[in-house]
Amino acid sequence: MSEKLKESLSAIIDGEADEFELRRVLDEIGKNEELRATWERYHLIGSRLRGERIDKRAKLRQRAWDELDFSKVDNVSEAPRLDVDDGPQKRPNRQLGRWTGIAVAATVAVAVVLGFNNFNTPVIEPVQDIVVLDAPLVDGSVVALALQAEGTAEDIRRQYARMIHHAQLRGMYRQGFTPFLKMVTYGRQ
Amino acid sequence: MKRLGLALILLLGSFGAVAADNGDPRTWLSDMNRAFTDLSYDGTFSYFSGNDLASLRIVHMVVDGEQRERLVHLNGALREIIRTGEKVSCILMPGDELLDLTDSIPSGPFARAFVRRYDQISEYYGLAFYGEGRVADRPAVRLSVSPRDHDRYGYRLWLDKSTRLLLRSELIDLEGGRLEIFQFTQILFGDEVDSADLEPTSRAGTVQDHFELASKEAKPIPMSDMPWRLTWLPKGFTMAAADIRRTPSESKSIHTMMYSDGLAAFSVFIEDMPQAGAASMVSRTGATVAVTHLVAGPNRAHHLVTLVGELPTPTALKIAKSIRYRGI
Repeated sequence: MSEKLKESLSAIIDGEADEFELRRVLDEIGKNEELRATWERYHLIGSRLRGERIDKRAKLRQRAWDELDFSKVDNVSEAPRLDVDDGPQKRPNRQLGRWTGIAVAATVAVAVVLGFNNFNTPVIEPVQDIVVLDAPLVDGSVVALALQAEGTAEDIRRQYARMIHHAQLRGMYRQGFTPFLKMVTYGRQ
Repeated sequence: MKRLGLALILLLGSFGAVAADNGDPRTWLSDMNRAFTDLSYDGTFSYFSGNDLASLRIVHMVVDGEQRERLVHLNGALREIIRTGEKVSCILMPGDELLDLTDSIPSGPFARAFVRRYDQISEYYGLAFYGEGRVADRPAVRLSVSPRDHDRYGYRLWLDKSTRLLLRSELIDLEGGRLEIFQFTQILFGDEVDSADLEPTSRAGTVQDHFELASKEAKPIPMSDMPWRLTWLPKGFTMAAADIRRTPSESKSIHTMMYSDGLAAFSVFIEDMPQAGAASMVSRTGATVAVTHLVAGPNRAHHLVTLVGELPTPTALKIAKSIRYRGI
């Protein structure tokens, strides 16, 4: 493995990669066993330092998500993007952009490629292995799909619309104003 | 061992004394509901859900037999919810993110949901008084609502000692962490509430978005017409409402079902696969989890299921995965 690749991988793990470095690793990692092993080893070291138990590959994706820097989510427009499909672009609104920014974060992009080497194949079967986090989360395979299409922002928008709808349904079911708290605070979280 | 036994007797005895003073916790929950709808109150409160702390004001009165309510977000761009009976209006500033969503929400009125009483919830939750407290400078009775299984969250409630209005609530996850906190910081009751404060803020440029919560005219659709069924439900959850609606923007049919155990609730929305996107995903805001999943429908075509509710994530996933089309 070349030194440049190693440096790019370190930069991604340290959160300092630029788009060029990310592209370099993404192009290689699907076909380069050594690079893949190095990526996993870096994460294993980090996990051991944190005293975590190491087990499945699913944990790798979990850790990738864990390592996302939520303080950087405002830099959505600067987030690296995988140009797999250049469909019509829509500027996401602030709330949706936040999650879009997270979806294309570098560590996740690499984890997705690692977890799903066939990510050009649309996955339409029910997904059994959903990664669960405290913040809005996406299963690895779905990130792959979302990165290819304009689906991510639309999916999140749809999910939020259903959340608001649920709040309205609760409003007619439950006495008092508390069901509407989700509505009135929407997007301010 | 004897000492432990004695301690237990003393402990249980002291809880018994508190319980005897306050009566049945279920009565307090019913009274809390009644207080929400029957009393006049005007208060400011804090609401923590997810990552943010919001400050809000609520004004509530019954005018000519009709409930009127005004809920105001006190931070950021103007946002108010005005409720008059079953009609609800959102007062927003142009460009509000909330407006973007309304095109995707089927418009009402819905058939009124079947509201469960609190008689049966003690089968699924342990109810106990646990002392007294003080919230917004008012004495409060504390009530714990502990789930009896892992399929629902618990609550700690502070109810106003004299009016029984909810002054503070904490929504507790299975590990004892607080997912949401609601707490009045100041509140007025009765004659101190001015009906003029029910009027929406008049500010140039605001936009309104209306919807109707429920209508006596709208009839619930019979279960036999709902082609979807849940093959697994947590104990105690029963259907509270079901409907088939079209969204204003896409004229897309959405099948909607809401279930509740008397405290917690979740809604299931099933629709045709959208043209783009359709990711399976899970998101969480405070206690509310949303699961989007795919399910085979008529002609084995994929349909999109979105489940939203105040449930632990594994439970929400299990329910979402149990949805089946009739005959499959």
